[in-house]
Formats: sequence, structure tokens, C-alpha cells
Amino acid sequence: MVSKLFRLKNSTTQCSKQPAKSIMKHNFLNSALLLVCGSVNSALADDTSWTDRLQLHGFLTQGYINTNHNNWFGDSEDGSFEFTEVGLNTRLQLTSNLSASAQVLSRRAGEMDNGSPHLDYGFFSYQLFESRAGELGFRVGRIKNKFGLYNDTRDVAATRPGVFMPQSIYFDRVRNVLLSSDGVSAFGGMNFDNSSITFNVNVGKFPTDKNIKATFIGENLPGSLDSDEKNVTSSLLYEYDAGRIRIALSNVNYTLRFNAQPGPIFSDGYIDGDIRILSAEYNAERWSFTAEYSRQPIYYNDISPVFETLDGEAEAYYVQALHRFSNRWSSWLRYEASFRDKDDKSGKMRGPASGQPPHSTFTKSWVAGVRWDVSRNLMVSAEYHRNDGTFILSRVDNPPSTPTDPEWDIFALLVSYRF
Amino acid sequence: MTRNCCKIFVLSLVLLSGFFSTAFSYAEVVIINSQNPLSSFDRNELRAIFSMQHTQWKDGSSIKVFVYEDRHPTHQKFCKNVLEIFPYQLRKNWDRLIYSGTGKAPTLVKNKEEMLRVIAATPGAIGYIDKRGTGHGVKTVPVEK
Repeated sequence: MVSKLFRLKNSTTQCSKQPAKSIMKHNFLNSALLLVCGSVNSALADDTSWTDRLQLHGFLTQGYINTNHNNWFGDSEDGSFEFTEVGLNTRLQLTSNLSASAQVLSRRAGEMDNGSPHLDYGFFSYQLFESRAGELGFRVGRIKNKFGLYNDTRDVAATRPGVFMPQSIYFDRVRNVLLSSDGVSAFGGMNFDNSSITFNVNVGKFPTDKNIKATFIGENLPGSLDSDEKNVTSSLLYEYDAGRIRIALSNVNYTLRFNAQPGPIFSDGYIDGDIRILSAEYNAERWSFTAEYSRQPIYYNDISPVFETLDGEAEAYYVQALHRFSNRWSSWLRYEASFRDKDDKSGKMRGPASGQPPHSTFTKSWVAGVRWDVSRNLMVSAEYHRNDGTFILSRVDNPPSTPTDPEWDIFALLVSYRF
Repeated sequence: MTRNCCKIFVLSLVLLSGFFSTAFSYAEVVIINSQNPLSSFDRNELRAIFSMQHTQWKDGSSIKVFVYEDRHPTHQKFCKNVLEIFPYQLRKNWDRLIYSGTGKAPTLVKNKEEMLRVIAATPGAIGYIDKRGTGHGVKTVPVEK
């Protein structure tokens, strides 16, 4: 490996100093390497060592969850340990403009996720330019979606604004419509005197799973529901005074295609929708205040006339205050709400229309939590949720046939190590 | 009378110099490898460098950032006094980069001796120490507001 790198280094020197004739003599592999280094201006210009170019990071999180009613990440009424997150990632700086990154994630989340390891992200990133004024680049591969303020590192406990992501905005029951895209992405930004604007656009296919089907049309419907290849997730972030104020606008524009099994009842069709979100955060020394607001129009096309009654616009938001008592201790209080239909917040119409109780169409929650950073790598946090409504519940953890309780509480404890 | 005037004059000089030393210089200074031709930074540039957003020097070589642990008193003071941001904000930026695959975190050093040693030994290196008086191969760089 080391000798290979050494050769790469040598050929870089050659491509800048030796005449074209001698380049012709090189074998094919070297010519290919020369092409790469020729196209990347300052490739390997400095003597950054192999160990400097390669990074390795990871995290390991174990949760314990107890609810008085309903299943939240497993059979939580009896106490559930079915919330485990293990991630390992690496990033290699290939040239000064080109890098390769990948993360493998194993996530156990009740019946929603069984913990089998999968590629969380894996992409090449190419920077067209970087200067004091800003940067511009693109990525190819499986890329995490920048959405709201917290989505792109949502599985790393230390980066979450609580034990769980705020479910109103970053819902776990169908997280793959927010999570990542298999495709291409453009990113960039502009720096001003004491502020900056950055943007990110991902175009690609969502990795689909059983949770998407269970949430959008029901697990047992005969057929498959797959993501379109050109779903667009875009975000625009304004930051003032190095993040003292952060304001973001994000949007997911998606299409899910239903391929019906041959039969008389359902036909091929598609669901399309948007998830729009406005985010704002104020960060002071001891306090952080965060608010995010979302509207989610959704339309069902052709699958069955029954589904067309599900058309509508969902609404969700949360507001949170977080206080840092010291370098080690912080606590937070959050109010959050989500409604399946912004024009029918109590679910009087929509609940019975879909054969479910009204409380399945909304959730309003008070959340209080505390976090202890034991060391640089280790943290422990605890959270209590008082919920009214079951809209955020997973249909996989709570099958539609089993009754749910509208008033339910969650207690969760989390231990997380990262490096 | 003249003696009193003298006393007042000397006292005000002392007070003034105290004022100037706290207002225009901090106990924490930015240090870079002595081969680096840069002679000053502005605060926004430094913020971008220590946030790991700005990763290349003007000649295209990579910037290598060295820091102490988040809770190290010099790190805390450097963030507050020189960068004028809170340490937790830097940590948030670094975590976002390293766990989304879009960047890297700075390299940790344990103490001032190690900081001086790695900055001197690494072309393209930047770090900070708690007061002036550096070693061979390292130079301090003033920060303009």
C-alpha cells in the first residue's frame, strides 16, 4: 500500500515536471493516474502523509425504553433494549479536491429496523473550487440528505437535539424518505463579512424499506412501493456570526411508485408529495433555542379510489429550549406537534375515513431531557415524553389491527460512545 | 505638587497600558509553521479554518489544524477571546463533518510542548498557545478584527 502511494507521489512530480514524451512511456495504469492528477490541479501537491489522508470514526449507542402504553422501538411496555446504533465510517482524501467517504450502519429499532449492517452513505466528493469567497462541488453515490438542521447526522446520538430526533419533523416511523439519496448532489456556499449562505441539492432514489410501504399504503397491500429515481432534496442555510443564528429552508420532493400485483382491486399508480420545512436556531453561550416548522402535501394517484381520500396536507412543528449548565451537563424542554391533516387537526373526519381512531392522525408532546457528557467520547442522556395522540407511532411496531392508547408516556435512557 | 502630578502621570500610564494590553492583545495567540509566508489573519478567516470549512492555503496546500481537547482551558479561552465563538459550536461543526462524510476534524494534541513540536514539524500547520514566547520553527501571527 505504502509503495503504491509512493509511486503515485512520484508520478505526480513527473506530471508537472517531465515532458510529454516520457509520459508516453509509462504503462496504462500510470497513464490513468497521470490523467487523474493532470485534471486535478494541485493533486498531492503537498506532502500530506497517508495517515493524514485517512480518517476513521464511529459510534455505539444503546438505549432503554419504557412506555406505559403502545410500542415505541420494540415491546416497550415491558421495557425495551431494541434501540441500538452502531456506525463506523472512513474518509480518504484522494487529492486536494477529491475524497471518498463511506459509513456502515447497524441500527436496531424495534420492528422498524432489524440491525443488519448496511451502507449508510458512500460517495465520492469533488470540489470544483474553494476560496475565502466560498466553495462549489458535487458528489456521486449514496449521500445523506441535508434536511432541516439535524438530518444528516441523525443516527449519531451526540449530534441529536435529544435522545430521539424530534418526531414531528424527523419522524422515525418512515425515516427513509428523509435519510439519503442514491444519485448525485451539488453543494456550495458563499461567505460574507460575518455570515454565510450554503446550499445542497441531492437528486436520486431513496433506499426504500418496509416502513415506507407500511406508512404510505399499508404493509399487506399486494404490490411493491418503490422510490422514483429523481427525488429531489434541497436545502438553503443562512448562518450569522459563525452559527449564532442559523436559518434554513429545506424541501423534499418525492414520488413513490406502486406496482400492483395482478388483480382486480388495485392498479399501478404513484404517490407524490413534498416535505417543506423552515428551521431557525439561536445559539448563545448557555442557551440554544430551536424551532422547525413543516408542511407536507401528499397526493395519491391511480392506485385505488380509496386512497384518493388520503390526499391532503400534513403540518408539524417543534420549539425547544436547551440550557447548558456546564461543560458536562445540559437539559432541554420541547413542545412538538404533528397533524396528518392541517385542516382536520382532531382527526374527526380523517380517522374514521381510514378506519382508524381520530387520535391516530395527530400527536402533541411535551418532552424534557437531560444529558451528561461523561468524557469527550462518552455521554449518557435521559428523556421523558408525555404524548397525546399516536400519529408518530410506527405501524410496523403497532400493527393497525391492535388498539393503541391515545395518552401515552415514554421514558428513555441512552448511553453513547463515539470516536 | 509636581510630585503629585508625576504620580498621577505614572499611575495613568500604568492604567492605560493595562487597558491597552487587555483590549488589543489576548493571552492566546495563533501559531503557524515558520515556513508559512502569512503575516496576519482576520477573525473570519480563522473561524473558517478552525471550523474546518476552509481547508487550503492560498498555494493550494492543505491546512493542518491542531487543537487541544474541548474542555482544555486554553481551547475554551481561544474560542471565546480570539475566534469569538463557543467551543460547543466548533464541536457541532466538526461532528457534522465527520459523521456525514463531508469533512474532517482537527488533530488533537495534549499540551503546549506537543503543540509547539507538531506545528514546527508540519508544513501547513496551524494551532494556538496560551501566551507568546514560542519555539524554533514556529511563528505567532496577529489576528485582525
